[in-house]
Amino acid sequence: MTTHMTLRVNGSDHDIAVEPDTLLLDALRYECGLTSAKLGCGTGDCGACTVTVDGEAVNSCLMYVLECEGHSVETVEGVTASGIGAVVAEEFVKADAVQCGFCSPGIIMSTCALLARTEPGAATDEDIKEALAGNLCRCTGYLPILDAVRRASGAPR
Amino acid sequence: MSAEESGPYLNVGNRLIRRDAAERLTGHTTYAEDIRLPGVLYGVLVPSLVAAGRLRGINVDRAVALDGVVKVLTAKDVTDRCYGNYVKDQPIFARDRVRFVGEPVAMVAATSLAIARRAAGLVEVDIEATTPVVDPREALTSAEVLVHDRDTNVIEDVHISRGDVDAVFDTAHAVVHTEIESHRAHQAYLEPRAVTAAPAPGGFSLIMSTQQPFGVRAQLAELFDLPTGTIEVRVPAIGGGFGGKLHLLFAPQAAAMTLATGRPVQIVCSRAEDMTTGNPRENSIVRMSSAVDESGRILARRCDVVLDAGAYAMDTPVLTSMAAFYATGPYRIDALDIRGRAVYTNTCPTGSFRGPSGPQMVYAAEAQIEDIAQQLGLDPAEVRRRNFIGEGDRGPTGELITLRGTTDECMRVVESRLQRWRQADVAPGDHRRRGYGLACAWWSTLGTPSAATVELHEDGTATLSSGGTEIGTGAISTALPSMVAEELGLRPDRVILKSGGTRDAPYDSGSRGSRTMFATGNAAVLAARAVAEQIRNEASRLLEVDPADLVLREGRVEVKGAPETGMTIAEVSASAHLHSGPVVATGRYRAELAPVEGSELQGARFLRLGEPTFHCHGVEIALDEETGRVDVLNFVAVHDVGRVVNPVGARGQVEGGVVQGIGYALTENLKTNDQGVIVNGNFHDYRLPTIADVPPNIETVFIETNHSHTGPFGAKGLGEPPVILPAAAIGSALRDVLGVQPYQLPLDADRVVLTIAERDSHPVPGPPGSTARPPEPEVEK
Ligand code: FES
Ligand code: FES
Repeated sequence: MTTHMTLRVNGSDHDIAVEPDTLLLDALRYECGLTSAKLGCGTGDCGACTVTVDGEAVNSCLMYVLECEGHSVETVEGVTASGIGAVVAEEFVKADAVQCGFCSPGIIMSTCALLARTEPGAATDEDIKEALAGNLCRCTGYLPILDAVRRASGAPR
Repeated sequence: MSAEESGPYLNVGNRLIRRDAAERLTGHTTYAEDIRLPGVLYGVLVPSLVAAGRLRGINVDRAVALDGVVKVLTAKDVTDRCYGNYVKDQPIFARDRVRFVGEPVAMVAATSLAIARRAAGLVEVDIEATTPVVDPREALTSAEVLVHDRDTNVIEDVHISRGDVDAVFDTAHAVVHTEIESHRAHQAYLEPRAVTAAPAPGGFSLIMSTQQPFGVRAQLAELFDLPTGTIEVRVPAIGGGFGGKLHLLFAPQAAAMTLATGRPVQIVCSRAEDMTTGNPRENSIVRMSSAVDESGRILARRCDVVLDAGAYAMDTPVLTSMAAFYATGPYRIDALDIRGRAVYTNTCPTGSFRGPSGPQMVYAAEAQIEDIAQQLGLDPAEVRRRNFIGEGDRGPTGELITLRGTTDECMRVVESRLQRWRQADVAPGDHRRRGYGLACAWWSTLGTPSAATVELHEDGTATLSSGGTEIGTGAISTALPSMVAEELGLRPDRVILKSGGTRDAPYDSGSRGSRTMFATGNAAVLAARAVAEQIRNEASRLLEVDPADLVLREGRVEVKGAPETGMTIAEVSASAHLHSGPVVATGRYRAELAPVEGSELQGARFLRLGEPTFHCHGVEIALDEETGRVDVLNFVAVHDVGRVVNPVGARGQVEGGVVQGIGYALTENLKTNDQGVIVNGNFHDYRLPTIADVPPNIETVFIETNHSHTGPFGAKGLGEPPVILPAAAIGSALRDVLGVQPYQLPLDADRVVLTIAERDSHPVPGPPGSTARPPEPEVEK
């Protein structure tokens, strides 16, 4: 049964038609035209679909879009446009923390969620590992990612 | 500050920032699944649920009747030609027989993915199941259960012989036997395989996540009997491949559906589908014997390798030759009797995975070295040192080694790190035992063909057109334009890259075999040199000096020794356009083949290895003897890959490869049960390393004193080597702790516990090799 809803993404409202079982990931990709969140597994095991809902990192492949009505969704297109998200992206570039890039939007979103809840410079390696343990990257071996997140965490905000 | 003002001209060897990084990080890069063409149909495949059986019938009526279903295809609707890189054994849809769980028997195309999935479930497939053969040992000898209509399951049988092996074995001081068995591992690229086919005049076009668009095009042209030029393969960004995207994937099925419906058709694998129908690294059995003298010098070697090809050959035939060629390790052995075989089984077909056959061959060859040392009471590093291959020696196929062998230099760096780690204090309360190990290897860079075009425009900027595939290493996106810029005396941002498929560039043999920087790079550099020559000729006319006296430097063409006499490259290019024609050239490259001598090869798919690279990895592990858990605490990776063009990208290749190698060694294991069903084909049960698992430090060291004679700027290939050594290094570290090492991979907790138990059940230490797996007296010949 198709219903209509308003999905707030990156500060803009999208009026979209959805089914009761439409996933947030599919709504973002195919209704809102924001393809940064990726379908890596569909089972919550890879983190490629990570976005934030009210600042919390979620696996958008496991969430129904209807649950997001009235909440604020952010994707990497939005968060890297300015502020700390832009700093994070910049540090990832400098650290060479991206290869194929399929994992990157999700990793940046998990990073932004972490930094939003920690004071500048306060995130320890353990915090970073915990925050990113759900994001698989098959290319980089993670060390440059760790490095980039450390630097972004220490950057002035 | 723009690069125009600030960027250096000389960039080869400097830290290069990946050109496409920002776009990838901000979510603006397009991957195959992101492209949905107007009017696209969603394709879903109907898999066989049994590993072997006769296909009695398929009823598609209920699927066809579903609203939104446009077409259902089965074998009878498509060509009966088969496809395959080396052996044409794979049908588009199973015809008469099914051979593995997951093999496509039909395909549905519908207006939505949900409808296509529902319809696929309505296709009724009637299969009379037969007994599958899933074990390669059984497949090797079985005459009853045959996977294909042939009288044997053996599809490939390669022999290398050199010298009088029997005589050496008969008189040797000692004979040492090592036998190992290895498991399957999945490439587990983050982007599942995806392809969209669309109608095009006279043929079709594809948007595909592939490492090898030109190979895909050639094979599809043959399969559908179309002129090559009527097929276009476009490659958007690829979310990783590691060999898993070298094959046709589901392009034949998507193309068949497009040809049948006249509409675009997209197939995107689910992760489960991807993991159960991909081409994982093959499981294998390696038996190796060496005849040695008292000093540990290896005088002769016998080796028998069996690779499990799964249900279809894919590229296993060529991997069989590779496995055989790598049976010596980086050691000079003058008498060889090596046999490599591949067998069909009723399992998911296997194929290339970054460094194909490498991890298990290195594991076997290095375990053999350690066994030799243990049996003779020698230091394993010393045994290695006495056997390293070097310049002037001949490799296994009799190819002359024309580069210095630097494995010893690599190993010395590793030894110094192991020494330091051994001396470091262990945190109080940490009762795990420490082990230190190393492994050596050589590998070779694939020199298969490539062409690239460079055009210099009137404004002094250039376009590089390459059919190479940017798979995420930065070799195409960043290193190649930089090398072209260096040749032309331009800033790198003045060289614009055009790549991404078959349409806009000449042939390239794909992102594989560590070849891109080397072979695609050589083609680009040759094109740039030809363009530079055209510029020098034009400038020579304008400046009235000999072209040989002109250099291209910092955006100008200048007279050597008199830089004030010159013109900008833009001026010369504009002039050339008016007077002699456009400034454009295509470089073509194929590595020269080394002369071979002294070895006899039978059934090999190629005759020699490419230019060698040399490597050594060292590791410190912590072993919890109770649980069998191994943690990697420190890792050092030392590589001689000639000149390092981009140190940043190179380090990324090493670290990523090392972590994949650690995953292969410790946790990754794609398991197939006795019914041929893959039981952990998802990211929950197939354990990939996460950020929480990686060692705190992976030190990357390059030995840069041994430039290639033939690579661009002296570079050789690096993509694969980092992944082939970690398992062997960890095996050696386990031996350091336990006195024995497992002879079966992976080295997961269960295996380690078993190894300890088996060791403890032998009160008197037996000969090496007898601890975890009883040796056979002699390699089967
Ligand atoms: S796609 Fe959502 S966790 Fe993998
Ligand atoms: S960069 Fe490829 S998966 Fe992370």
